[in-house]
This record gives sequence, structure tokens and C-alpha cells, in this order.
Amino acid sequence: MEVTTRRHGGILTFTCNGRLDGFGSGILERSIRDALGDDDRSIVVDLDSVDYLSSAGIRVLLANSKALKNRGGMLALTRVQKYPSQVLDMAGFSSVFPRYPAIGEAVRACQRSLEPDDLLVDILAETRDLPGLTLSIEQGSSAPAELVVTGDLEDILHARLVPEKVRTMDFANTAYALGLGAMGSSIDDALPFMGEMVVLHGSIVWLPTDGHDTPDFFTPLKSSDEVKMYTGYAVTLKGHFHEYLTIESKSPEGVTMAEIYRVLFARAKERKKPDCLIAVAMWGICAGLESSGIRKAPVASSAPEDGRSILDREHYDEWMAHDAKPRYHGDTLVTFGIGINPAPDAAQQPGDAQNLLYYRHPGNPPGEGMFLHNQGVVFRNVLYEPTAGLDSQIKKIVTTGEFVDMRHLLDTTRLKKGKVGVAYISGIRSDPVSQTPDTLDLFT
Amino acid sequence: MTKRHVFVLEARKENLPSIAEFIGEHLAGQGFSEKEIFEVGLAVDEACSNIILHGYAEGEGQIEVELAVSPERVTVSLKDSGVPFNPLTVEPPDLCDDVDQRKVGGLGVFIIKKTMDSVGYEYRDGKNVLSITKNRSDRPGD
Repeated sequence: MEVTTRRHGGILTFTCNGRLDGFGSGILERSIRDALGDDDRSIVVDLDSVDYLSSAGIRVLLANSKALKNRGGMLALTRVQKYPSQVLDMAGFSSVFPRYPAIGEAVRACQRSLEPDDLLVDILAETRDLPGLTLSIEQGSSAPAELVVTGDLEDILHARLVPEKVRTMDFANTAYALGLGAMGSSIDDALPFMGEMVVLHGSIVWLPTDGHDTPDFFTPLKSSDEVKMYTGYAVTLKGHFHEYLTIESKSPEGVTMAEIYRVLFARAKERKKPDCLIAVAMWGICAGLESSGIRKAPVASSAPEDGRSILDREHYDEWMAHDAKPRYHGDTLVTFGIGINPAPDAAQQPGDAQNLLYYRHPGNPPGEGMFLHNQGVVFRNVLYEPTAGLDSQIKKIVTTGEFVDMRHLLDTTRLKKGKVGVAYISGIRSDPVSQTPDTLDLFT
Repeated sequence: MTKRHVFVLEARKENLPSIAEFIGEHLAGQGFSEKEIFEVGLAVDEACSNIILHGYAEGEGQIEVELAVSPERVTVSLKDSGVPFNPLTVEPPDLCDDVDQRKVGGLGVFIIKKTMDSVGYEYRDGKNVLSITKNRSDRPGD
């Protein structure tokens, strides 16, 4: 059995060549599982070169048909040959799987089955056609939003973390935050494993720097003091998103984080909102995750002897796990991040955003003209529902989704489509514990 | 005159195509129609799949396929030393049209009964023996 996977008009099509028996059906099952993205609702199975079908083949078709029906889609068969057709009839499956004589008809039937959702999206918000992507916008909160920065970025960049500079974090009551942290029963426990961290609606995901390269996901069932999250540096969003954007790439290759942020900065300018600093949460379909995260805890005892930043060229490989091979195509990606737009036409200069948030990450292509810091969490088997609310959907994903991975994203990470929450930040507060002035208002 | 052919194989999914090949090879040119050959192959495949999935679920074992071809009919006997199990006692599936309600359990045995003219089971000398017979259509009642 050979299975060829292609997309026709966006619909996944599996062309089988061989026998769909107990052995061949296992190969089809794996092919479907590997190719099915979290935004796929319907598939076509092409049986033109299948002259044999047994109950094992029907079993795989039925299981997938049920799963897709639950997603609001369908499994369409096409070019079913004489004997497989007789087996389907004999087994009482004549009208269970819709059958079409040609691939094109099966694809169109699948596309039709998806149309009502697209219409709903159009009704909810105005859609714009931009180069490379389409965009629709919904209004969110009108209250101001700010960022709270805990710890000092310089202590991370120069590996100066000591127990006195580490704070505990109340992540269970935090919606969105990113930074560097570790869980443990004490500071001394946690300090050696400080790694990339993100908080999504009370759940924490972090990548311990213990050499195993395996992230931990933690949702507290009830408040407990036994295990604490310690952080050396954290940026927390205080406030809600002002706008929700639904984006969809025009090409299957998707759009990069940099391209999405460029659209967001342009939108900020159009709204005459402070366009130098935004906080952004996204949930969408990944079209290639690229990452570079810290691989050693930036503790004082490990600091580079030359006193330079761990991101300097000669230290980068030792300190950062750089992975530019795109991964997780079709899986669900949830991100939280911040972006600074230092472009000359920015309404305001970033001011303290520059000191509190900005650093040059050599893993990102130079000359983008903006600074992004995004953490991404990968989930699987979560249906993409463009009409669902961003915050409620992220809550649902972190509580019910199948957790796969967590990474510090490079700006070249791509999304095929997604829902984006944007907060236009009007102030930065430095957490008092970091020994810097209490309040730094950017725009006053 | 009855011709007998025996094929012994390891009970593994990847061997299912070679069972089909064995059946096809020995029934071709014996006066059976293409449809009859397909149906015998299907029934044998379903029976072997059951043995592979359920009979030897925990370990390895063999299946002996014996083909007896006469001018009137073909009888295939399948022997395995797995868990004693009479597939003919399996409840028939509910053949409704609603995807959500459909289950695949029992479908294999249902297909065997539907395609074959007679089906018999016995447990003999520590082995499951399933015999399935297909009569040649152009010699009814022989």
C-alpha cells in the first residue's frame, strides 16, 4: 500500500495504491494522522488504485469519518472501484460514506460542507485584503493596558542571576506573561533550571535548562504553596486586548511572525494608538515553528568570563539552542509575546521599553526594524474554530489540548491562519522588587 | 477430484497480502469467476485478520491455510493455536446508515457469512478450525 497525500483546493486528498486490508489500512491510518492539521475538517480518500477493501479498511474510513463529522466536516470517497464498492454495499455502508466519481467533485463537496463557517466569519467582521494575507478586525476592550516587568533583563543577558534577584510568581492568577523561570520547592532548587517560560491563562509552560530539552506544562488544580514558580525575569500583561484580528495567509507556506507584527504595527498607526509597543497573544495553525531558547540557566556562577552578553556571537552557540528547521506543520500554536517598533515613523520612541524589554537576538534576521519576543506552545488535536473568542479558546486549549512542545520563537516562525489579540501598551511598570523606580509611564 | 494446497504463515498483518496471493494463484484457471475468487480472498482475509488481532493478541503464532478445490466448490480451512474462539457466535452488526451509530465490530464475520455458502467451526486437537466453502456458481446443487 502506498498513500500519496496532496491538497486540492485546500482539501487534503489521500490517494491509495494497493490493498486496503488489515495491513494497508494501517498505512492509510498513519498517513491521515500525520497529515491532518488542526484546521482540517474534511478529507477525500481516492480509491482509484485500490481493488481490494476489507472490514479493516472500512474501520479506518469509519473512524475518520466520525472524527471529521465531529469537526463539522466529512470524509468523501472518490473513484471507488467495482469490488471495494460491492464490499461497502454488502457491509451496509452504501450511504454512510458519500462517494463521488471524480476527485474534483469530492473536493467541491468537502468545500461546500465548510462554507457556513466562512460566511459567519464574514458577517462578524469586515474583511481586508492585504498583500499575502486577509485580515478581519473585531473590537475588544477600550481600557488602557500596561506591562509589568519583573527583574532586570541585563541580569539574564549577562548571566548575573543570584537567589536575591529571583522572585516568586503568581501565575495561577495571571492571564499572559513571558520570561524566564523554573518551578521548585525553593529558590535554590529552581535556580539551576531557569529556562524559557510562558503563562497562558493560569497555566505555566516552561523549558527547564536541565539538558533534557523537554518542556513542562502545569495547571494548578487549586491554589497550593507546595510548588512555586520562580522567575528571574518576567513581562506580564495587565489589561485586556483592544482588538482581535483574524488572519489567513494566502499561501500554504503561511506568514511569518515578523510579517504579522508588521501588519499589527500598521494597524496601530491607523488607529492613532501608541504604535511603539504592543502585547500580542495568538492562536492559530502552525506552518513551521523555528526557535532559539536559552539552554543554560543564566546564573552568576556560569557567566561568560569576558563579561559579555550570552547572546554575543562567541557565546551564542553555547547558550542558545538554535533550531531553524521548521516544525509542527498543521498543529495548533498558541503564542504570547511583545513587539517594539522603533521605526522612524513611530508615534513615540519606545523610551524605557528599550531598557526594560529590548535586546538584540542574533538568531533573528537583522534589519527587520523591530524587536519581537514571543513564546510559543504547540498543541495537537484541537479543532481550529475561527469564530471562537481568543481568550476563551486559549483557556480551552490549555485545559483540554494535547500538549506537544514549548519554544522561544524566532521571528521566522510561520502561521497559516490564526486569531490575534492585540493590546496597545500605554505604560510599563517595573515591579518594585527589581530595585528600579516604581512606575515608568511611557507616554506622559 | 479434489486438489489440496497448504500454506503456513506467521500471523502478522504484513502477511495478509501473501495469503490473498496464495488464494488467487490456486483458484485462477480453475473455472471460478473473478467475483468468486475475490469473495473467497475477502473471507479468508477477514478470518486471518481476526486470528492476527484476537487469537494471538499477546504473542506470535502461525496460521495454516488449507485450500481444497474440487469441480463443485472450494473449501478453505484455517487452523490456529491461539485463544479458543468460535467466530460464528459473534453478534451481527447493526447496519444503519448513520455514521455516528455505526460500529465495525462483527463486520468481518458478517462479511464471511455473507460471501460464503457454508461456514463451520470446531475446536480440535488444541486448534481453532474454521472451514469456509464457496460453491461454483455455474454448477448449482451439485
